[in-house]
Amino acid sequence: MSLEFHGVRLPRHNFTLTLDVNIDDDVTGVFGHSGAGKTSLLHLIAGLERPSAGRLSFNGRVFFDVKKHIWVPPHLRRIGMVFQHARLFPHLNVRKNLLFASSFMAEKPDRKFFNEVVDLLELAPLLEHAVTRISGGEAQRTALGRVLLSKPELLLLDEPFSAIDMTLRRQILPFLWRIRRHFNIPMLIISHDLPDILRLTDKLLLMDKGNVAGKGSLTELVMEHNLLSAAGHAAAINVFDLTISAIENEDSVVMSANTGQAPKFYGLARPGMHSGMNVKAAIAPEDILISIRNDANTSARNIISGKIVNFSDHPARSFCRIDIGGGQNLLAEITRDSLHRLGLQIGSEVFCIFKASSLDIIPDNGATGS
Amino acid sequence: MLSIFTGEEISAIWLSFKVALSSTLAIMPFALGFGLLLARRHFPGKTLLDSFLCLPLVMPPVTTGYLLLIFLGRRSFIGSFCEQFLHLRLSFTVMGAIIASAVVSFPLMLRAIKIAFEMADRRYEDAAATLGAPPLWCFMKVTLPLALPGLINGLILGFARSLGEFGATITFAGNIEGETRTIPLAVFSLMQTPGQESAAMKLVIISVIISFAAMAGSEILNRRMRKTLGGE
Repeated sequence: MSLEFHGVRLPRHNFTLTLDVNIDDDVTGVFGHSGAGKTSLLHLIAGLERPSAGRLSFNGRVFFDVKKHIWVPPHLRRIGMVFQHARLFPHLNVRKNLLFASSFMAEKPDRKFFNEVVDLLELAPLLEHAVTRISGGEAQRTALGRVLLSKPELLLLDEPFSAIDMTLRRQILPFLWRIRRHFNIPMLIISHDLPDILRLTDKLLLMDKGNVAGKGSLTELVMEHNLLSAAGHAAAINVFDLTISAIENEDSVVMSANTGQAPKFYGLARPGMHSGMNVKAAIAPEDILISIRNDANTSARNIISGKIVNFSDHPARSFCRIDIGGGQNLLAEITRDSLHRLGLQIGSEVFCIFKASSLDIIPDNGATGS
Repeated sequence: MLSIFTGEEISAIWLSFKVALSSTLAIMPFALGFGLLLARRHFPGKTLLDSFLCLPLVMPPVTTGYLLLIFLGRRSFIGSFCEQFLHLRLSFTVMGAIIASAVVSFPLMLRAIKIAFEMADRRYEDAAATLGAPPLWCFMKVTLPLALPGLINGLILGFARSLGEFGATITFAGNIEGETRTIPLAVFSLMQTPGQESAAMKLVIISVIISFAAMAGSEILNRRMRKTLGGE
């Protein structure tokens, strides 16, 4: 996909959203403080807000061009949106909400497609329910199904988890992976919670005070832009796509990426895990210990060797990026004091040590689901 | 059954219904249109228009009737035009009673409808638009159903206000038996006549029953709507 913003300006009460950016990654996370202009960005794409200047085109189609007086209304754009609160039509039940778009679409979704979406999002038992009687997670799944059935060319997700509590988020994420894999629709997803986004994509758009503050992968943003000052604490996180290769001593899972010389990761086994299962594993940079010796006399199960690629030097926190083989990087937090004490430099060989229990593992249902 | 009512009473009851129903139906499209306009659009002079339309709500009905006489009476421009070319007399006729009722009950209906449209959350319309719904479809399938309980409430309020109209009617349409003497006017006339207290009481009771039925009917309708709208 290709979304091109040229000199787009949208005055808001406390700042002017200014956009001059191309978004071309199929799944892009939009990240930034609340009030940074994330929702306005999505509204501009969907056509729910009118800019005061500029031009926006999507895959070559012009959505608006203020100078040329071009304005395509939202219902002709084929941009689907999932809002923070599901916004299901309260006067229609789940089935009728799902079928809302089909009543005026030129090419109506057939029964097969409907069943496909219902199966994928596990909506079958809810179909005849009133939307006011279903849970928050169920409502978001229904909203996802409703938008998929309108066959959008781009899916905008405005903090689809914010109205849902932490445990339920975990249940929604796999559905987004499934949608991603199954329908191959480009997505733009907003969250103020970086770990949430990173579980979906590594391609980020960082917004700050109405401007695009940076674009790229997390490691690029942390190293090259001031991601952390814009993102605040506990924002950075390492996420790996892994496959379980074995379960050892009942409580420990061994995982590795599918690439050649990728290191092994150890995590805590949970019910339902089995070898061959795809998972996403996350570890926060502050949970990683850096050692210059391979100290096997520790209870920490993960000891991964690597080479330091570079350092970032923020006033608040400092990080180093470590190449751990198999094309993977690990971001670890380290104090400047420790850097000096250990005499670390670019190219230094180090060992990254962390506990199996620090590794956060989520089953990646999407891969096996369909 | 009808024998318990005198011809005069039947004519008053029938006339009340005829006038209230006609005025309600006549102002309904305007109340819907202006309600939507005031709830959804921003334009210069909006507050002025809103206040002007709602004027009869706060003005004493007799003064409204007096103004109607001035602007629509036989000697007025519009009144004489209607009489000469359309052979339609506005003042002191059934038509006059309907006009008086309509003018007085319009603001009440308008306010209820305006609030109903304001309460229908626009974010649902945004959601419908991003799903590809054209504006008219969006209005028919999302806005209207969401606002429906409030709209019906507005119609019933307008109807009830028409049934009770007195001041503007007696001023503009007079108190002519079989022509403009609705229930409230009939009660007033009977009260002026010595020895007719029980006849007046009978009409008062009928009036109470009609009002009660209208309110109960609207409540039942509302509840049913809410149920089909799914709770809360």
